[in-house]
Amino acid sequence: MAPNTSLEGLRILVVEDDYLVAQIVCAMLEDAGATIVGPIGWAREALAFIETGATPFDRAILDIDLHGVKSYPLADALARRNIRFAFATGYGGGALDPAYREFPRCEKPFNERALIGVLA
Amino acid sequence: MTAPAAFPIVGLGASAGGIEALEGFFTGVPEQPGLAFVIVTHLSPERESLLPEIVSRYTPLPVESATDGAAIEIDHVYVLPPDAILNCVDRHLQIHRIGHDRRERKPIDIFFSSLAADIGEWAAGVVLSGGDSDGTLGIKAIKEHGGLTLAQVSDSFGPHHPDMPNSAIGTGLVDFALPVHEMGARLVEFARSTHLLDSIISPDGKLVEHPALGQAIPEIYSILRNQTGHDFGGYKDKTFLRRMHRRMQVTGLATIEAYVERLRQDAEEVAALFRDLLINVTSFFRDTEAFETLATLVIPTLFEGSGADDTVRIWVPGCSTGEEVYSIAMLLREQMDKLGAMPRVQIFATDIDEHSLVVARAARYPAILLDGMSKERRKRFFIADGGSYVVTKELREFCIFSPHSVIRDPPFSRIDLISCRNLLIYFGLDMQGQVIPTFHYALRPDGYLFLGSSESISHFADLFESVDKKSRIFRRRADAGPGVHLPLMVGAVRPGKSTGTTARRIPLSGLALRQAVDEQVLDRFAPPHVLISRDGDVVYYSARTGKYLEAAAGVPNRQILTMARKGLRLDLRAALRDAVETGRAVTKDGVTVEGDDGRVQFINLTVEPLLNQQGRDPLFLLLFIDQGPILSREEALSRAHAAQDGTALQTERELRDTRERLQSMMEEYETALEELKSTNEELVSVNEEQQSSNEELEASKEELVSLNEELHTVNAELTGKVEALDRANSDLVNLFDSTDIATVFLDRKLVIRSFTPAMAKVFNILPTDAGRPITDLSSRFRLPGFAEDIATVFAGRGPVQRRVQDGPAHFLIRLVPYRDSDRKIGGVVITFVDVSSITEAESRQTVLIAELQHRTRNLLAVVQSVAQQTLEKGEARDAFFVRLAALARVQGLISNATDEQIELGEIIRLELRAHRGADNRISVDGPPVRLGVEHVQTLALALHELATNAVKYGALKEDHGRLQISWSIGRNSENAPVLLLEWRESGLPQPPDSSKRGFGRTLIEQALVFTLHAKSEFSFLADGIVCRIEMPIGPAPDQSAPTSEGEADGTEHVA
Repeated sequence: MAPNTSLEGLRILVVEDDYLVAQIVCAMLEDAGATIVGPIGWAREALAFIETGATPFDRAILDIDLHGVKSYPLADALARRNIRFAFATGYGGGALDPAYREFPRCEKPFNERALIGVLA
Repeated sequence: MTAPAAFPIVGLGASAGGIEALEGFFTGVPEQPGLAFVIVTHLSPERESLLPEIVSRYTPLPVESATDGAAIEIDHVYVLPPDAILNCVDRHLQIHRIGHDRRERKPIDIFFSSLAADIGEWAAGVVLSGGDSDGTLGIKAIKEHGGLTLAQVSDSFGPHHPDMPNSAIGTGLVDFALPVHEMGARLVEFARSTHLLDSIISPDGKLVEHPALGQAIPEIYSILRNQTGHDFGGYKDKTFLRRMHRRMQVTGLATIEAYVERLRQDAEEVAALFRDLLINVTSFFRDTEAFETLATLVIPTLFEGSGADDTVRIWVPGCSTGEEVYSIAMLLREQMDKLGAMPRVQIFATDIDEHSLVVARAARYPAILLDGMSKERRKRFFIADGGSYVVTKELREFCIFSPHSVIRDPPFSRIDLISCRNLLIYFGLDMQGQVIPTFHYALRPDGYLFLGSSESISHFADLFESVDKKSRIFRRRADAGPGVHLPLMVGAVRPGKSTGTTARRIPLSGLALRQAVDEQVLDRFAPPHVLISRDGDVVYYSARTGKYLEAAAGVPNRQILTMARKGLRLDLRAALRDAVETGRAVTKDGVTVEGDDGRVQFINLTVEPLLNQQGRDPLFLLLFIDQGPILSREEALSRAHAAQDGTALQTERELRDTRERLQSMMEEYETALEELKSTNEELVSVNEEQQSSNEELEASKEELVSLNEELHTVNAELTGKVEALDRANSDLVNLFDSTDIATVFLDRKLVIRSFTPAMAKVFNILPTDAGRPITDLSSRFRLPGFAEDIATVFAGRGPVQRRVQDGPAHFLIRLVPYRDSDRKIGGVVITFVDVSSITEAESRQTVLIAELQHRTRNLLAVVQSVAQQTLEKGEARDAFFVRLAALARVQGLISNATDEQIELGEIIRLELRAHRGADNRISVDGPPVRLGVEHVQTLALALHELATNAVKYGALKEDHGRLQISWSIGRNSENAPVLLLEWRESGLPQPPDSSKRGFGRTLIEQALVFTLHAKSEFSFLADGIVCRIEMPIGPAPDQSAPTSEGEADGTEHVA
C-alpha cells in the first residue's frame, strides 16, 4: 500500500500539550493540505470538545501524555465515534497501555511522511 | 363492657421457639372461633416485623400488627409490634413505645394483667414456648379475675423452650396444660360456655333458682371439708359458683351432678377446686383510708419504747402474693425514718398456697398493680425493670414468707400486729370462732389486729376492743380470761355445752316428779361427786365437795389432782388411771382425807365412766363416800392398828415411810413436769425462730440461684471473649510468622517480650530468649547509638528512625514507643526493615538520572553541531544557538531537581547570569516559590526571550536602564493560587517599538497561555516595557477539582 502523501480537505484535530510541538505538528499537517482543528492542550477540554461534537473533524492526533494525564479516554471517545486517530508519543511502544497498542502511532520527533501516512 | 357484643379475648404469650408454637396453635383454631387473639412475643425486632405475615400463613383470620387505640374485633388476630408494650383498655389496644435499649422483660405479664383488669372472666391467657418466667404473674392476674388460663406442653410443635410454660404451670394456676393444636378447640368451647354462667348467676349476683344446686353445693362443701380440712360453708355463693363453674369448664362437664360425681372420685379435682377457691384479688394499699389510719394510729405505737435490740413482730396470715405484706412493710419503713434507734422488724407472711409464696418472694409486679400508689413510694420502694417493678431488697429483708395454715398450724406468738385482711370473709362463722381467739393468743398484750373492711370480730368483743371502727383496727384486751382453744385442741368437747344440753331437756309431766325426787335425793343423800375428763380436768362439781377438794395455789385451774386434799391425791391418781385404762368402775377403800383441823376422815373413793357418752371423749364420775365419823389423828391411828400385832405395826410404819417418800417423789416429779413444760415452751419458740431462719435461708437460696444465673451469663460472655481473644491471638501469631519484618517488643527493662521469627536475621535469637534482656544477645551487625535511641524513645521524644548498613545489607530501624492501655510508655517496639533492594534501586536511579542528563546534553551538543554545519552563519544561527543554550540550562535545572520542584528565583538568576552576570541595574524581589517541572520549561524560555530582548533593545542595552523583576502569590477569580510575575523595564531614552512581533513575544503571549493556562500582558510605556504574567501554580485542572486540593498544593509551593 503506497502511502498517501496528501491530506487535502481533511479536518484534523490536534491534541498536544506543548505549544512548540503543537506548532510543528500543525505546520506539517497544514503543509500537507489539511485543515487544523485545535490545537487543544488539556485532556479535559479535549474530551469535552469531542463529546459535544460542535465542530466536526475527520482525523485526530493525540499526544499520549497531557500535563501528566493519559489521553486514553479521548481515544475511547474517538473510537466510539469511528473517527480515525493516531497517538503521538515520545515513549517507546512498550510504555503504551496494552489495550491501546493496536492503534496507529507515530513517534516524536515527527517524521513528516510517517505523520501524514498514519492520518491519510 | 359485657354488652351483647362481648366475646373473649385470648392473649398469646410466646418467646423463643414461638413461631412453631403459633403455627401449631393456629392450625387448631377453626374459622370464626368467636374470639379475638392478641400475640405478645419476645422475638427479636427483625423477626417480629415479619410475624403478621408468618402467622397469616397458618390462619384464615385477618392478622394485623397492633395499632394504638384500635378496637379489638372478634375473629381477628393482633400482633405486638417491636419495641412496644401492649395494654388493653375498654377492649381497645394501647401501645407504649419503648426505646431499643430498654427492652421490656415481661411484656406478657403486662398485657395479661391489663387484659384481666379490663375484661375479667372474658379473658384467656395462653403461655407458649419461651425461655424465662414471663406470663406467670399475668396468668395469675387472669385467674384472679376469673379468666381461663392455658399453657403449652410438648408435642411436635414444641415447646422448644419449655421454661416459660413450665413456670406458669408450676404456679398451679393453669387450667389447661395442653399441646398447642388442642388449645383452639378448648378456647372455642370456652367462648361458648362463658355465656352459660349467666344462666346460673343473674346479673345482680344472686343465684338463679336451680333444683340441682340446693343438693350439690352442701355435698361439695362436705367433700372439700373431708379432703382438705377447710370449710367453705362461709364462702360467698357467687364467688364459689363462679370458681366452680370455671372448673366445670375445665373438666368439660356440663351438669353439676356430673361434676359432683367427679369430685367424689377424683381427689385431684378436689385439690384443683380448692386451689381455685383460694385465689384472692389483692393489690397494694387495697383500701387506702384504712392503711392511712393504720399508719397514724398503730404503726407509731409499735415502735414506742423499742431500741435497736428490740424486735417488732408482725404477722400477715393469708398473705397471698405479698401485696399486703409489702404495703405494711412500706408503712413500717416510713415510720422508721422518723426514729433514731432502728428496731429489728420481722413480718411473718404466711399462706397455705406455696405457689403464691414463691411469687410473693420474687416481689416483681406488673405496673398495673401499682396504680394508685404515690409516686414517692413507687420511687423509694420499687425498682422499675422494664414495665415491671421489683420491691427493694430493703423491704424484702423485713419479710419472712412461709407456708402455714391459720386453722391447722400452731400460731406465732408475741406478735405486735396481726394484719389479716380479707381472709376471714372466706371462713364460716365457726372457723372465725376458732381463728379470732387464735389471734388473741398470738398477740402480745395491747397488740393490734387489722381486719378487712367487710370483716369484724363479731361476738368476740371480750377479746378485742375497737380502736378505729371504720378501719377495722382492734386492740387485744389484756384482761380477757383463759379458755382460748388453740388449734391443737380443735374438736375437743366444750364441757359447758355438753352438760347444758342435758339440762335443757324438756321435762314431761310424769318425769317431772321423778326428776324433783332425783334432785332432792341427789342433793341430800348422794355422796359428793365431780365429773372429770380423762385428763383430770373438772367438768362439773356437785354440792359439798369442799371437804375433799381445795383451791390450789397459783393460776386458777380445774385439774382435780392439784385440788385434791392431802392424802387423796395418790389414790385418786391411781384410781383415775385404772378407770381410764379399763373403762370400768374403780373403788378404793379406806382412803384417808386430812381436814384443815388435822382430823382424819376415812372415805371410799369411786371413779366410774359416765355412760351415754358415745363418740365423745369419755368423762368420769368421781364419788367421795364417807366411812364412819371424823376422827382425830390418834384415834385414826389406833383404830387402824387395833386389830394388828407388832409385825403389823412394823409393816405399817414402813408403809408410812414409803408413802412419805412417795409423796416427796411425787412433788419432785411435778416440779420436773413444770420444768419440762417451760422447756417445751422454749422449744416452741426456738422452733419458731428456726422456721424464720429457715425462711431467710430459703430467700438467700433464691438470691443465690439468681446470682448463679447471672454468673452463668457472665461466664458465657467471658467464654465468648476468651474465644475472641484466642482468635485474635492466633491471627497475631500468624501475622508474626508470615511477616518478613523483624520486630521485637521490649519492656522498660529492655527484656524481650515477644518477637517475630524474622528477628533471627538480625540477632542471634531463639524462641527461648523471650524474657531475657536484649542486651544479652549479640547482634549480627554493629548497631551504633542503639542504646541512646532506646533512651530517646523512653524519654518520650518520639519515634526514632535510623538506617544501618551491614555489607550489602541495609536495614531501616524504627524504634516506636510501646504504649499500654493508659497511653503510658511501657516499652519499645523495634522493627528492622530490610531495605537493601530499595537502597540498591535508589543508587541505580541516581546513576540513571546522571546518564539521562549526560545523554540529553550530548544530544543538544549534537543538535548544535548539526545546526552549525547545516545553517549558514548569521543572525538566525546565533538566535538558534542562544535558544538552544537556554533549553540546555533548563534541562540542567530539571535533571538536578531532587523532588520535581524548582525555585523560581533560581531560574531567573540563572537566566540573568547567562546574559550579564551580577548587575546593579537589576533588582529581583519575591517570596520563595517552588514550581513544578511542567511549568519550568515554558516559563524559563519565556524569561529567556524577555532577557534577550532587554539586552538587545531594552533596559539592559542602556546604561540608565533599570530592570525590576518581582513576583508574589495571589488568588485568581476561581480562588486558585496563581503566581503574579512582573517584568518591568524603565529608564529608556525613547519608547520601545510595540510593532515588532518576534518569536519571543509569540512565545510569551501564546505558549504560556496554551501550555500553562497563564495570562500575559505587555504594556509599552514611555521608558520601557512592562510584562505581567499570571500563572496558575495549583494542580492542572485535569488532575483534580480546583478547590481544596489546589489550596493545599499552593501553600506547599509557597513554603
